[in-house]
Amino acid sequence: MGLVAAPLPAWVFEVDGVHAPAGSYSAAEKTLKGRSTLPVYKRQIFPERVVGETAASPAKAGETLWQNDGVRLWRLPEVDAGIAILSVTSKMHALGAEVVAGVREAVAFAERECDGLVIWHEAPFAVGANLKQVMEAIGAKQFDVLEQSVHNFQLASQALKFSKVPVVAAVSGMALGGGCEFAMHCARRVVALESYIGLVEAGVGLIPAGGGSKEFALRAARNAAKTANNVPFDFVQPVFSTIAMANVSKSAGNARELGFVDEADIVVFNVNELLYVALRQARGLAESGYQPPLPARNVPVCGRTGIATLEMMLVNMREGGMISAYDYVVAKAAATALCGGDVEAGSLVDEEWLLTVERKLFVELLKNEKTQARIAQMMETGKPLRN
Amino acid sequence: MSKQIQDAYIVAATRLPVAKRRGMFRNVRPDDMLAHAIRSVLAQAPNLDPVTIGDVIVGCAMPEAEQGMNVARIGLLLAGLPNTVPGITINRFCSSGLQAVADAANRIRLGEADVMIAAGTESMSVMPQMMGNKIAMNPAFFEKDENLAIAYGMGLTAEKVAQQWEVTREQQDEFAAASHAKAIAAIQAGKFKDEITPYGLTEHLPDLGSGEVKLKQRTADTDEGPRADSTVEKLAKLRPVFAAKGSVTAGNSSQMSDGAAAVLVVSEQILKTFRLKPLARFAGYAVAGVPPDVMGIGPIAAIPRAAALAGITKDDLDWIELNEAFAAQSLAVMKTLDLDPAKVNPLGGAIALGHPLGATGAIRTATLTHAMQRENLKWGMITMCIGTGMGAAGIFEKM
Repeated sequence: MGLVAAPLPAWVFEVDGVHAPAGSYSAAEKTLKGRSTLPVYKRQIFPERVVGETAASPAKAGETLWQNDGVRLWRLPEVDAGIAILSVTSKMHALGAEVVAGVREAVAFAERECDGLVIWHEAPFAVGANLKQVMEAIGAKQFDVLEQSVHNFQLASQALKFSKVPVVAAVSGMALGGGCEFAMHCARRVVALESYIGLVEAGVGLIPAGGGSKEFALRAARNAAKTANNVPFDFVQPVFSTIAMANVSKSAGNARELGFVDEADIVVFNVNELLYVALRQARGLAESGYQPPLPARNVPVCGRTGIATLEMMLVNMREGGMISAYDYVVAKAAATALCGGDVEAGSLVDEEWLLTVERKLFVELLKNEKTQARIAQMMETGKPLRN
Repeated sequence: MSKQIQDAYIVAATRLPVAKRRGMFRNVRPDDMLAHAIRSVLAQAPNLDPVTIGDVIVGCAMPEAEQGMNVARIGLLLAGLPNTVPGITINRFCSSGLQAVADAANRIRLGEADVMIAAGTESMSVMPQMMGNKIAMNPAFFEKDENLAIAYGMGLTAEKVAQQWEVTREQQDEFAAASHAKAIAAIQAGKFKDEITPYGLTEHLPDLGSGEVKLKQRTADTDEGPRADSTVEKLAKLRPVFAAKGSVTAGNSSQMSDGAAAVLVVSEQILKTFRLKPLARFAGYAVAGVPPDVMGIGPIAAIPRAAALAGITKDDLDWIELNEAFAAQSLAVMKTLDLDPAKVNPLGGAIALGHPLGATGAIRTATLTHAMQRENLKWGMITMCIGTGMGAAGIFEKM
């Protein structure tokens, strides 16, 4: 017995499918009708397609400007020929050496020949570093190579930040680890409502070292300077919890609360409009006389006192059986990076100092067997190991 | 060998009702609470000339922000005392209020003053975090294992006590439920009436509908913490807060609170001159250090010392105000010293009544001295554990 007794309309048996390259069947007009041409739909450069509908794939659309094994740099002349689009092409958009090199080349290309750069591809934005490459280097005990890889990643982040042309990150889906760090370094973020952003390195026994810890230390100093007491620690403490617990935002709004998205960034409700909005944002910034920020100098950090104060939290969690002994080690490294290293509280440092601190801590953790075990389990099962 | 030249007497002791943190006193400043307590205690000795007050000693465990700037001096000036009366804020964490009473009494016992005010004030509502407005740990805590416990939160130390003194979750919850039951019974019987001075609240609140500032007025006259519906069954459902597999919960720990109290302490000469009737004689006080990781056992070390100084044994005690920082440490102290449960906190303790840190000692002085008068009891004691590993105990004799 069917769900309803009503007979199907006659046209169901007359047409050969509902959707076709020319459009979808309209029973009222007895013809195939193409997509609406209302202006609002022009904001959807790559709209969702229905079965049977043909359209250009983003991977092949537009004009390719440059590409390697990890990225494709291209543009859409019909929308804005002056804004380049950088799309990561690796599996799950993992960030390996070829992607890192591609980011730096893309920025250089955009600075030479374009007015702006947008980082866009379909979700996920990025699932983080390429752990396979990391484990191969660990297996070969090439820790100097790994440190150079981290350094290269930091150079890519810094290239995004100090690009002479505005770089806009168009984020949808997961932006984890290095993906989050790349987004943080852009001049602006255009974020789909359903975005899951986080610095999740602690889950594999590491800390953010692609400039993420550095950026939060800088922001803490900047935000504190706007307050009467000027205490960067007040801004470091909540970020520390976010990083140590590997918290991921539940939405774009939550990402703003966690500090991954700025007040000036744009939240886009319809993910299909993301690229359009990002291109317009890049154009707007370029037309507004965009100037990159100056490298931060004389940045006050929380130093040893800040580390000790965060360590107090960790001691209580460890003694209370809430975190493991190794969680403690990893979280203390995160605290050290956020507090600018084992220096006196209030010491004045610069961006390069902060990058060096986070990079050295990252490599030290990589050498630890427990971090290696966490990475291995994540690769095998996709689930974190609590060791 | 006598260590004093004269006795010190409590002639008046009063307190505000204790409010839950961010409860009825959320918009009341600690210096205003203190001023009210000072005015109220002096009102109980109307013949006394305030000019004779040698000093105002105020206990406060987090003397910063709204309760910083030497809150003692600010409070006494707001209370309308002559500006010739000095004031000092002291801090020994949870025993600060009792320490203030002891210090005030000792000034009199040494003959350095004849009239002293001891007080305590603490608003935990104004503290953004339990450890003050700006927490800044010393890295040295973490460089040697023996110093690590300085960084322990109080709840974690209670877990350590529960483990080492074998205090079960069930025992803690039973103790907590009894604290609420006793406090509710005491309130219903009016047993706090003599010690509480009601506080008139006036709050300036925005009325968004009219665009006017609305004044909301009411009188606070009853402790806000005790729960008539608290039961062992309900308490058993709460999850441990400080350890994954622990037994210490929000329900069997003291409540965070706002409160203030003041105590008027005088010499025998002043008793005669102003014809004052003493509530009690201050008989002795001791503090002692214990390992910071089990700070809750502090009273175990302090009580025998205080009793010896007062010339009594713990069996002479008729009423014991044992600050219930945590049920775990309260039970460990009672078990180790074999304290009679019937004499401990007959009106409930901090689990029900609240624990406004540095004010608690002065608050419980008001409770004890009035109870001893009401019940006609000779010896009473106030004792508490102290953060970073100390204990304090003060002995009082009814006159």
